[in-house]
Amino acid sequence: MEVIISNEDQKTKVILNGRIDTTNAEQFQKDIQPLMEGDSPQIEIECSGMEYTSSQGLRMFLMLQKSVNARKGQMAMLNMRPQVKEVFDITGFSNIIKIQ
Amino acid sequence: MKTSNSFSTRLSLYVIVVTTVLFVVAMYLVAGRARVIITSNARDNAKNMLDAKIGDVEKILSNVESAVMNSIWIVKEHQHEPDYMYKVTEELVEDNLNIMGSTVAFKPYYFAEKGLYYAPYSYYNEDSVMTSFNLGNDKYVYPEREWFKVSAETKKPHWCEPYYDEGGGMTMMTTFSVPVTDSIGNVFAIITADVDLGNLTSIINTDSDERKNMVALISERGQFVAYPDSSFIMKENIRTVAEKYFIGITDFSDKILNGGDGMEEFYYNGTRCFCIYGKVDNGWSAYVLCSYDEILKDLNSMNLLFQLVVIIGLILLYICIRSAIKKISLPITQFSDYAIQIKDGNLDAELPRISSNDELRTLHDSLNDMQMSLKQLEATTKANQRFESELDIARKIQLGMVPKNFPEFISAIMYPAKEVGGDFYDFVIRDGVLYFAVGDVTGKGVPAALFMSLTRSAFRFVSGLNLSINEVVSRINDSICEGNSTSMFVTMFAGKLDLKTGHLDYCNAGHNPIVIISPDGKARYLEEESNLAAGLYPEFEYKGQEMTIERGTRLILYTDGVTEAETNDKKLYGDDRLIDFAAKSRTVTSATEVAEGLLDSVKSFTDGAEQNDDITIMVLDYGEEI
Repeated sequence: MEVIISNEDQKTKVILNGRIDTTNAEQFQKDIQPLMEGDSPQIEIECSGMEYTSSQGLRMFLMLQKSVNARKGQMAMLNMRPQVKEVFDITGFSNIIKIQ
Repeated sequence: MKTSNSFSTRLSLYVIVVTTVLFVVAMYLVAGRARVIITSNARDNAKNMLDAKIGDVEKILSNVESAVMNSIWIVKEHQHEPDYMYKVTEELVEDNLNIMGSTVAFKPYYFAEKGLYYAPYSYYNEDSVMTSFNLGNDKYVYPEREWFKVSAETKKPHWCEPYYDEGGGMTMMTTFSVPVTDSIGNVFAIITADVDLGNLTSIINTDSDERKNMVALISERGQFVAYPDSSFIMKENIRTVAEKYFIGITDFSDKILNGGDGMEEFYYNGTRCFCIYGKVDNGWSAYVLCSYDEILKDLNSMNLLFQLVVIIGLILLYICIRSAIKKISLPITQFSDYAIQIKDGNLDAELPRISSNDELRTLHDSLNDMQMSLKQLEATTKANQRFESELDIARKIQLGMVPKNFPEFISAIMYPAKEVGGDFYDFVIRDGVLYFAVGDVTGKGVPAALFMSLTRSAFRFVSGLNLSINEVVSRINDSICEGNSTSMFVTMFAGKLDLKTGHLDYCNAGHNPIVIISPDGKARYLEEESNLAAGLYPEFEYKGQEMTIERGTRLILYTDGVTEAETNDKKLYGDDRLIDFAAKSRTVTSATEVAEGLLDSVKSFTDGAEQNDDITIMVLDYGEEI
C-alpha cells in the first residue's frame, strides 16, 4: 500500500496505490493521519491505483469522512475502479462518501 | 574460573609436552652423536698414547741394546786382559743414562788367575760414585742366572724377565744380555746391561691419567713390568689378572702375549672398558685400559646439567605460558560468566570491557548485538503473549455467542481466521416465523468481538418485538450506534421467513448479496436494495424487501471471508465460483453437508494459504416438511 500526500492551491491531493487489507490496515491508518488535521480541508483522493479495500479500509475512509465533516471541509474519491466501487456500493458507503 | 584454569592448564601442558618431546629427541640425538664422537676420539687418543709410550720404551731399550752391541768388539779385542773389562763396564754405565749397571761375565775358569767365576761389574752406588767389583762368588752363581744361561745357550741377545736383583743393583730391573763368541763361534762371555724398571714405569705412567686409562707394560711371560699400581709389578701375571678381573673375555692374555696390535672390549671393575694393546720390540707387550664410564663421565655430567637446565626451563616456560594464557583468556572467562547470566535470564548482564582490537572485539560486538536482539525478542514475545491471550478471549467471545444446535433445515459454520474478526450468525424461530441474520463486523480482535456480541444481542432482542425486518435492522443500527466512537460498523443480511407461507422479508445492510437456489436448481444472487452498513448513522431508515419463495428453495448466506478467500498469489475465490458451487449443491439434500461442502471448496481453492478473514456460512432449506 502506497499513500502519497501533496498540497497544492489549498487542496490536499492524495494518491492511493495497491491494496488495503488486514496486513496493512494499521499502517494505512498512520499514513492518512496528516489528513485528520487542519481547518476546512479540501481533500481529493485519487483511487485509480487502489486495487482492493477490506472493511477495515472502509472504516478508515469513514473516519476520515467524519473528521472532514466535523472540520467543515470537503472530501471526494476519484476514479475508483469498478470492483472497489462495488464494495462501497454494497456497504452503502457511496451514500456517505462522495465518489466521482 | 575453573573453566579458565583447565583451559590454560591444558594449553600450557600441550605446549610443554610438545617442547619436552622436542628437547628429549634433540638431547637423545646430540648425546648419541657426542657419545660416538667422544668414544672414537678416546680410542684414537688411547692408541696414540700407547704407541708413543711403546716408542719411548723402545727408544730406551734400543739405546741400551746398541750400547751393549757396540761393546762386543772391545771385549773381543781385549779378551785376554781380564782387568780391562772394568773399563768396558764402567764406560757402559758412564755413557748410558739408561744403564744402571753392567757386567762382562766370563764362563767359569776362563781366566785361570781369576778363579771359577769372573764377572767385572760396575754401577753407581747410593752416593753416585762409580763402583766396580767382581760379581761372581760362591753365593752368586751367575751361570745359573737367566741372563747368562739363555744368551749362552741361544747365542743370541736376550731381554730377561724382570727380577729383583740382590746381587748387583739391589733393585727391580731387567737385564739385556749379549753373547760374545770367539773365532770359532763359542760363547766365552756375556755382556749385560741392567735397566732400572723405575725408568720404564715412569715413562709408562707419565701423562697417564689413572682414572681414565691404565697403561701396563708386560713382559714376555706375562709379568707386569710397569703399572700404575706398583704392587702389581713383579708380583702379578696378566694371565691371572685377566682371568680374575677381565669379565666377558677368555683369551685376552693369549692375544696380548702372542698377538700383535689390537683392541678388545670387556668389563673391568664392573664397568665396560676397551683395551688397546701393542707389542714392544723386545717381545714385551703394552696395553691401555679405558673405562667408558670415565670417558663419558664429562658427557654424562654435561647431559645431567643440560637436563636440569631443560627441566627448570620447562617449568619456567609452563608458568609463563599459563599466566600468559590466563591473562589472554580472562575475557573468555568473563564472556563465559556473562553467557551464564544471559542463560539465567539476566538480559541486562554487563559485557566485559575489551580494549584490544581483535577476535575478542568481534566476539564482544557480536554478543552485544545478540543481547540487543534478545531484549527485543523478549519484548516482542511479551507483546505476542499479550496479543495471543487477547485473541483467545476474542475467539471465546465470538464462538460463545453463536448458536450451536440447528433444526434439520438450517446449518451454519463459523470458521474464524487466526486473527479473530467479528463474524456472526444467528436465528430465532417464533410462532412459525424464522428470524435469521449473518453479519460481519469491521476490524479484528476483542473490540470486533465485543461489537459483534453487541449486535447479536440487539438482534435477539429486537427479533422478539414482531417488527418488520427493516424495522429490526433500524433498531439494531440505533442500538449499536450509541456510543460508537471508533466508527466500527457491521454489514449484515437479516431475513424473516414465514415457514407456512414462504413469505420472505429481508434487509441487506451493506452485506454481500445472498445466494438463492430455486427448486429447479438455478442459483443466483438475490436482488437486494443496498442499505448503509449498521452502526454508522443513527436513525438511518433501512429499506426492506419482500418475496415469496417456493418450497424446495435453498438460501446460502455468507460473509466476505468466502468470496474474498485468497490463494497465495492473491487470486480471489470470487462470486462466480460461489454461484457454480451453489448450482451444483442442488443434489445435496442436507443443509449441513452443503455448508461443509462450501467450506471445503474454499479451503481447497486457497490450498493452504493463510486465512485473512473469518468464514461464515449459513444454509437455509425451505423444504416440504416444514
